[in-house]
Amino acid sequence: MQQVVTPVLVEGLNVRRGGRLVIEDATLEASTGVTALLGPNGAGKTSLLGAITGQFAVDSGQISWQGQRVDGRRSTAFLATLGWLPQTLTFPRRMRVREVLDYAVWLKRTEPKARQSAVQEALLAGDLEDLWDRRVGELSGGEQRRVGLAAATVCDPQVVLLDEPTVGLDPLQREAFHRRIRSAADGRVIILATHLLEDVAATASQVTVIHHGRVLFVGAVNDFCDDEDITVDGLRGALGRLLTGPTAT
Amino acid sequence: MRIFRGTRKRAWVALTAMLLLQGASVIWTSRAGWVGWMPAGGATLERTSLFGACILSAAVAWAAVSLRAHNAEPWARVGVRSVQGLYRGPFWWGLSASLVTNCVLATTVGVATRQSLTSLMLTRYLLSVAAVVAASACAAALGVLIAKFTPPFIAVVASFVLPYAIAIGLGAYLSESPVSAWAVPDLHAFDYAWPAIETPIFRAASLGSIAAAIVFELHRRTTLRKVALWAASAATAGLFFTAGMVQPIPEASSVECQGAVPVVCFDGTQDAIRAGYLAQLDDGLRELPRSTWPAVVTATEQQGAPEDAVALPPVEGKYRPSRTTPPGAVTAILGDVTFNTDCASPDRIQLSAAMTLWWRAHVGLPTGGGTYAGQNSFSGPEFAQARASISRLEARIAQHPDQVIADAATQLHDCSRPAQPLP
Repeated sequence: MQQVVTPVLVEGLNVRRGGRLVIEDATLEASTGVTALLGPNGAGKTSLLGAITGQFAVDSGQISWQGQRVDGRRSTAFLATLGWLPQTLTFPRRMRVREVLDYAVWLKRTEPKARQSAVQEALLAGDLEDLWDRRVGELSGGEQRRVGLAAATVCDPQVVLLDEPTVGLDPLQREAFHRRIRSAADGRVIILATHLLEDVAATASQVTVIHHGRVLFVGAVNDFCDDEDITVDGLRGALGRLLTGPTAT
Repeated sequence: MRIFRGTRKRAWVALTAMLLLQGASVIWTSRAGWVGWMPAGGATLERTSLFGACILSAAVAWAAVSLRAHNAEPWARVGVRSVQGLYRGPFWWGLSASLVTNCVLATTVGVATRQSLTSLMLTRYLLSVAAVVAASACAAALGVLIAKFTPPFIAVVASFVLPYAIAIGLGAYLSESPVSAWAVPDLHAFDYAWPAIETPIFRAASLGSIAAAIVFELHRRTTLRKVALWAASAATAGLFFTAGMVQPIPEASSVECQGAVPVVCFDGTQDAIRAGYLAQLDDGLRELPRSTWPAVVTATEQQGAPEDAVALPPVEGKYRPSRTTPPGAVTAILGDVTFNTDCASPDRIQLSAAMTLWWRAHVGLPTGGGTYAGQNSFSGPEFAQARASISRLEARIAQHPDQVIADAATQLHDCSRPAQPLP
């Protein structure tokens, strides 16, 4: 019988930052589709994503990609499959959208001949054709996040990490961004770190709840939510009980 | 514009223009110290790298720091590129601008010093060029390091100040230490003597190996980087060992004399000024009675000149002897020497001031200040009195020019003769 391999698997992960244990014995499983990493501000979401990207060193535990451990030195093969939109990423105001995407493509060590077509694909996928020659400084906050998402998904990465991508967007922009995330999740693993229940309700099929560096829940959103239909209120009730009740997974 | 990769074309052009402007300024303002003399030309080229390194380092830091200033470095590192790969762009962007600048400046200085070209001088000049190029690579790498490791808001300023502080520290505070052999050489040190040939060889090798190690590190060639570092260690040890060794420049000491009365002598560093110098000297001598002409004139005060020689070194600014002949300088100095006095008598001092002022006016040079850069203005009390009586002196000289001038010159140089009052 063939063993099913979870694309991204985090087991027993401990991460220290500044001598303090910020991630404690964390577990996360992410398969194709959107996996929400849900938790209040300061819960350890960014640290967990940082451990996956290699930004923060892993104290103990392991991170696997397609069954291969990647928590030591990041292999080029793993990095080539990874896309990341950090929470605080900005680009120089005078940079043009096409230049941002060209740089993102260059970072993936794409052959010079293929770079132009990769940029075109990213513009199309991100619905940025009308913004391609605009300077970043001329874009609205929502448009800048779209550029960031497009930059995170250039060269067709199989795993995309999004850290609070909808913070600062108005409801309409957020709704549009949710559509883009759902669209980007087609055939990919997306891990969406957020503290907004709307993000989870609108995009995620799996959820991992993290609080004070500890994972409290790993599973399907359906199993987590109080309501049969996944609603923000249902998620709020479940999260409230989880955060105030006894620790359980 | 790809600021993260540091390949902005317009910024590159601006940087090149800035480096060229800076280098050209240094070369032009110090021309009196090196034109026509290749050893000093090499030192001048190296002096252009003093502020050039500051500009280059700051520009590279400006291009490189944008990654961290926008919190983009962790994001970029999730790409497949190495950290070195991320910062390679700004390094080569800045260094290529510097290489173009150095080529232009080296060619300019080389052409302007070709009169003194010998194979040894050319070798030393090329060593200077190599040292400048290597120092540029070190400056660009310093910009990258500062951009990588200092707070982004201070990176550009720090990267401008640090190369200057290092250069000044080496030149001023560590001048007695062998470490100062890395410093930019003093222009005057190349007038008649220069460091032993081993020193510039080791200096170029030391800086070049360090630069090579930086390049290999940026291109992640570990073995080559190690080799370059070993080479840098050996070359630096050699540099420190040979630091301070000086030898005379043979071509500089060779004095050549020409003409009859007066005989005019030049040393090997003054080939470029001969024609202009002689023309000005002839202009001056025509206005003096033959009896006051010096028998031998030397254009420098160096050893090896005949004992009875009168030294008339051209001066420009702080450069003495100057390797250029400012208009009127030799004519003016001829008057200064002819009408100078070592006698303590007030009458003679007064006569000297009056004759000097008359000379300047007579040969059409200004009397209100210095005729050429670096010359004293005539501001003492004796000059104030001389100005008051200048018209009477002019009238007297007009009647018997040769007699009055010769008599005055004799009185000024022979303190034992009784002084005659001014007219």
